[in-house]
Amino acid sequence: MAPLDDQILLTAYTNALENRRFEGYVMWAEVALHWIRRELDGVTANAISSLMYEHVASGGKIDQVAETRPEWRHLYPFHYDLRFPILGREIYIETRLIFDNPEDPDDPVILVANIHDR
Amino acid sequence: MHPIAAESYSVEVKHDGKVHEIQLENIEIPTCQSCGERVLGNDVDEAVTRELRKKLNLLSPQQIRGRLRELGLSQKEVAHELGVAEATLSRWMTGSVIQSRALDRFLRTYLALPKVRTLLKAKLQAPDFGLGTLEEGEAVLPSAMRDSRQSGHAT
Repeated sequence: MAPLDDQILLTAYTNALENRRFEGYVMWAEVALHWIRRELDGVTANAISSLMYEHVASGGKIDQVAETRPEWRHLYPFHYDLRFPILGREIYIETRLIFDNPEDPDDPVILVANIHDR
Repeated sequence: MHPIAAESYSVEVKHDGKVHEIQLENIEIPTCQSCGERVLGNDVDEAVTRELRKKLNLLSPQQIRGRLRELGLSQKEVAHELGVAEATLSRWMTGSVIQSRALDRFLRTYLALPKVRTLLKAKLQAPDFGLGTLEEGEAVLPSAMRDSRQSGHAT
């Protein structure tokens, strides 16, 4: 898996995470939010977005993976995956980056499509 | 994203090893225009947390922050005396992590009773703390003073 090293995409991804405390910058697919609340005792989705930010801000790896699933491929060419431990569990987080204007730091949105144990 | 009015929304939330059913009423949940999937934001996550705290009678982040401010206590000293990491207390105070019921009760007791705070300051390192019943008044004496009193040395 190739790390995300495109500077424009990386900046957009980081901008979305920097805005995580405001509504609409990090969004959760229902399945992802349900998994967090059902599996990670006492942890909120907002806490996960903060951990994602800490991971990226400290130079943690983001994998850029070409989307192969036919139902998603026409919508998003790539998904961006993070892996780091939470409560002693190795967790995989699959995200999509949505943005139109690379010049606008308030434009990018991250959709967390899935999250589960590795 | 298209907002839609949901009749109600339910989610299972694990807390202290037990799963609780949380039901939210009249909450708007956007749907992705491209894929049709329901997409949830901070507002839903926070509403779920608020309902869980209400159901389990847990202190809210605002209540914890307010009480620390009223008492003039720093996060650092409270975390030290409760025996939790400062980052843990900070997460309770921002609401990103929900404290366990046991720690919520300990925190309430600590915040409600000045004697408990004094006692913890004085006895935190005493190996026999909790192994016997303290005499009234003894609770507020630092262990160094008590030890010197017992051995007959004036301090």
